[in-house]
This record gives sequence, structure tokens and C-alpha cells, in this order.
Amino acid sequence: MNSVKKTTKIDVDKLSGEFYFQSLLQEAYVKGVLSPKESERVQLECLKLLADCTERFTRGKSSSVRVEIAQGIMASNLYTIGIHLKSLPDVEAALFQIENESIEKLYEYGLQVLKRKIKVASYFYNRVCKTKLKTPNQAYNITIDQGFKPFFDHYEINFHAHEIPSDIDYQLIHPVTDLAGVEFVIKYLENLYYENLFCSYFDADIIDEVMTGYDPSYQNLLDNICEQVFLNALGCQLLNAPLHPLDFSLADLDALDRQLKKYSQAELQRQLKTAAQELITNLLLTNPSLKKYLIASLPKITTTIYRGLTTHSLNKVFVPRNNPNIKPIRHYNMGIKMDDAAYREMVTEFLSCRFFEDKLAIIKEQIKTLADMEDLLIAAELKAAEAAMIFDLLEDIELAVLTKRHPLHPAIDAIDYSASEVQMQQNLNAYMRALPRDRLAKILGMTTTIEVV
Amino acid sequence: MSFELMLFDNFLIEKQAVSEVLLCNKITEDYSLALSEEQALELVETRSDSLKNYGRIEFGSGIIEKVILTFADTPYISQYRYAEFLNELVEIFYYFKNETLDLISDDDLIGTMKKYFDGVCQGSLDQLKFRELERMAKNVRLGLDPDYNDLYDTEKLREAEDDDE
Repeated sequence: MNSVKKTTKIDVDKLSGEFYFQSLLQEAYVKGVLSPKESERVQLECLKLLADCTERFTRGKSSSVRVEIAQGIMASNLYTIGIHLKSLPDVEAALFQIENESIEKLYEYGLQVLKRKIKVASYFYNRVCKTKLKTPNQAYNITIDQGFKPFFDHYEINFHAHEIPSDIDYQLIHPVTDLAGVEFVIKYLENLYYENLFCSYFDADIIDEVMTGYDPSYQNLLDNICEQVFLNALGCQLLNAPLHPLDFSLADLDALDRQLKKYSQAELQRQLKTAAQELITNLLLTNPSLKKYLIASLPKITTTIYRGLTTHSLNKVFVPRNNPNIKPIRHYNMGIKMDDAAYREMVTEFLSCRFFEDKLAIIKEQIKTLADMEDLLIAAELKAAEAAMIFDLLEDIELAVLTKRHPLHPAIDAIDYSASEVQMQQNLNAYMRALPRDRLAKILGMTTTIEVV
Repeated sequence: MSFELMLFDNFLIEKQAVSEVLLCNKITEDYSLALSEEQALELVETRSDSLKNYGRIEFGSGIIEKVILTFADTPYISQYRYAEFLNELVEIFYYFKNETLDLISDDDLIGTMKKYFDGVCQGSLDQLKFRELERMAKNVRLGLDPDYNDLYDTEKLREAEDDDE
């Protein structure tokens, strides 16, 4: 005999994930699926269950409890029943059980489901630990290393099943909403596992450089790592560039800007979906859930890229890698030296001056390049005070160039350098030591990144 | 449909509680103490009001019977103010359930109330509430022995000093 399938009046989309049982009863009552008599029975049985649980909570030593404790126990009971009803194939099955089983029985079934779910959470936690990314991001590390310890140590299914005793700071691409208790933890760990899995296709040091490019102090931020890695990988895919370096030059960013700015947001999302599918193929991603997870993040990523295009800040979306240990080299040109005859004439005039102001006037008038200034500083054999007044005319970068070219090495100077050169080095050294500490550090920092041409 | 905790009509619950209170008369009559039906209802209402005022909820028969039976043999009460006395005791009980942070069981709290009432308070409800039970609640909150009395210790110290002199 064919059984007639009952068509449900209940709108499944209106059911809450966090308060499933309550929302199901509400919907069933409003739509007339559950009679007033039935709903009253459910309420009375819920109250009886609450009384029993409260007695267990107080171990029979107190007949009364504070209202907030009773509310917590009631919420836990309803959550436990809801978690069992959610585990059933569909809403009809859930309603059938509500009508034909006692609330106490449903609660017992719910406890069994909870115990199984804790094992699932433990499984995902182990997967997350195994695939953990090597990163200095504190929120990520603390969430995985310490954040779930309270949950596995203290999660209490009898009276606090709906609570989440954990310290979760790290933000996911897809934040977990509308779930509570162990269901929240499972969903969070599952999402985190997929993110770890995706990041494991790239070198951890490269990811670190990408994130440093995103923000040099990213280790203190609560931002998601996987999202930035996925964005960079998508950018490389759009450029048909190798995926694993996850890097962009200025030319790459220009090319991406030209390529993408012609699209509307909807078209952009289509392009990104195609690129994401190619990316999945090229990376040989096999996990179907991971693929689904990445594709589901495309609307959010499209918005980010579209905003970057409209605000001309694509370099903040597809961030170039930044290795803090490699400093950019600056080339400094010393300039062309003046004609020898003119130089001799200028030096003769300089040395014959009686007042130092006249010497400064000659420098300001005739010295046009640092190469000539260097020669003059050596040839003039100035006293420390006079040299300091000339050094005052120079900018930081010029002082850095002179420091780099004339470091003071007392042990070798006497042999390798002339007496006038040593004099100049000593003057420069004395001047530098008298500078404020910040400025001195800045100039010395420049010496490591300057290449004198 | 709401899942508020106080959504049920209390009438049936109260009626049952009143009959349970009246059953206690069979025992208290030996001490010449009895409650009329009206007084029993008033006592049950006092319980409901106290629970509401102190933000508590109670399941089952509650503590009224325990209070009645424990205090039945006290020498400081007569039929003249019996109902008023029980109403105050019930209110005091729920107040100190909160004040002791639920760290003390119903039986222990009622037993302590009886001990102080018959002992140092000598039948004074004011002394019971404002002095002895306040001190006991403070001790419980501080993790001390409920009976600890620093005033008593100070007096003993003074006596010892006087003896030395």
C-alpha cells in the first residue's frame, strides 16, 4: 500500500538554528499543525522536565532556585530536544516525534545526540591541530591552542548544553551564526579546518610575507588569513601567473586593474567564479567541501575586489608580498665632479679665506655635487667645529653616504688613508655622535640600504 | 505560544499547596497550633510573593511544611500570632536563600533558623533576621563556618585579658 506523503505547512526557512525546538513549536502552533491541547501538553511536560532537572541540579538539597538558573536549565533542555529533532530527516519526522513521544524521551534522545556531537567536535579539533598553519598571528594561535580547552574540559550537557565555554577570537571567512553549544563549535572547527586545508597548499613563509604585506603588524590583528591567501591566489590565477608565489608587481596590479575595471559587480563575480574553478583545478584541490567553502566565499570577495577597483586601492586587495628582512636598496648618485682647474682655483680661494663665513659662501656658491663636497672636506683639513658647520648644510641622506664611504676604523685608517682623510673621518664621526639619537639611528639605518653610484 | 517560566495558572498549584499545609495541622495540634484555610492560603500567597520578590522559582511542595513542622515545638510561639509568625519565617527563608548564594541547603537553613530562634534570639524574629542570620550569611559568603562569631571571640579575648590582670 502506498502511503500518502503529508505535505507540510511549515516554512523551514523560518526555523531558527539556535532555538530550533521553540521556533518549530511556534510555527506549528501558528500554522495549526499543532493543536492548542497538544501545545499545552508540550508546555506542561517541559515544565515537569525543568522541575526534574532542577532537582538534579540542586541534588535535592533545595526546592527553589534563582529564576536565571531555571531559565538557563530550561534553555539547555530545549536546546537538547532541538538538537535531536534537527538530527531527524525532516520537519515532518520532528513533528511526528513531538506528537507521539514524551518530552522527557525526546530529551534523553537529545542527550545521546549531544554525546555523539562532542566526539565529532573532537574529531574536527584534531584535524584543525594537524593542519595548523605556522603563523605569528596571535588570535589564530591562541584560539587553536587554548581557545577550545574550556569546551573540551568543561562543556556540560545536562544543564548548560546551549552554552559555548570557549575563547574564540579568530575570525573566519564564513562566521558561524544561528548556532549554539556544541553545534557552534563543530561548525567553527569545520570551517577552520577547510581554511587550514586551503592554506596548506601554500608555503607558510610565503603566507607570512603576504600577510605582512597586508599589514606589517598582522600578528596582532583579528583578520582572517585564508581570505587574503585566497584573494592573492585568485589574483595570480586571473593574471595566469604561477600561483604559489602569491605575489604581485606594480605592473601586475595595473594589469589586474585594466582587466577587471570594465566589469559590473555581477559580471565580476562570474569572472571570479571561473577563475576560482580554474584555481581549484590548478591546485588539484580534491576535497569537495573545501571547494564548496571557497566558492561560497566569492560574493564577499567580489564585494572586496569591486570596492578596491572603485576606490583605486587594488594594492590593498591583492597585496604584494613584503619580507621585512629584505630592505629596498636606494641608489645614490654622487654627481659629476667639477673641472680640475676650476676645482684647484676654488680650493686655493677657500684656503686663503680669513673668515669662515667666506668659506661657507664659497661652498654655497660653487659646490654643486656631493662628490665635490667630499673632495673639499678632505682637502681643506678643517677643524672639528668648522667641519660641523659644513655638515650642518647637508641632508640626512648625504650624511649617510659620507658615513658609508668614510667609516671610522682607527686600527686601519693610519695605514690605508691619508692624514687629511683620517681628519675628515674623525670630524664626521664627532659630528654624528653629537646628533640626536633618533636622527643618528635614521642616518645609520640609511647607510644599510644605500648603494652609492 | 510562550515559554516563559511563569506562564501557568497558579490556581491549581496553590490549591494543592493549601491542602498540604492544612495537613500539617494534624501534627501541630499536639502543640496547640493550627492554621485556618484562609491563613494557609495567605501563607501560600506569601511564598509566591517572596519567590517573585527575590527572583526565585520553586517546584514541588516547597518549604512551607518543613518550616511548620520544624518550628512546631518552639516555646516562643503561641496560636495568637502563629500565622503572622509563619509568614515572616517563610519570607526570611527565601531572603536568606539568596543572601547565602544557594550555598546552604533548605534543611540546613531551616535548622539554623530554628537553632538561633530558640537560642540566642530567644524568640525575636528581628534579632534572627537582622543579627544572627545576617552574620551567618556573611560567613557563608566568605567561606567561613556559618556559626563563626568574631564578636564572641573578642569578648572571650577581653575576658582572658581581665583574668590576667
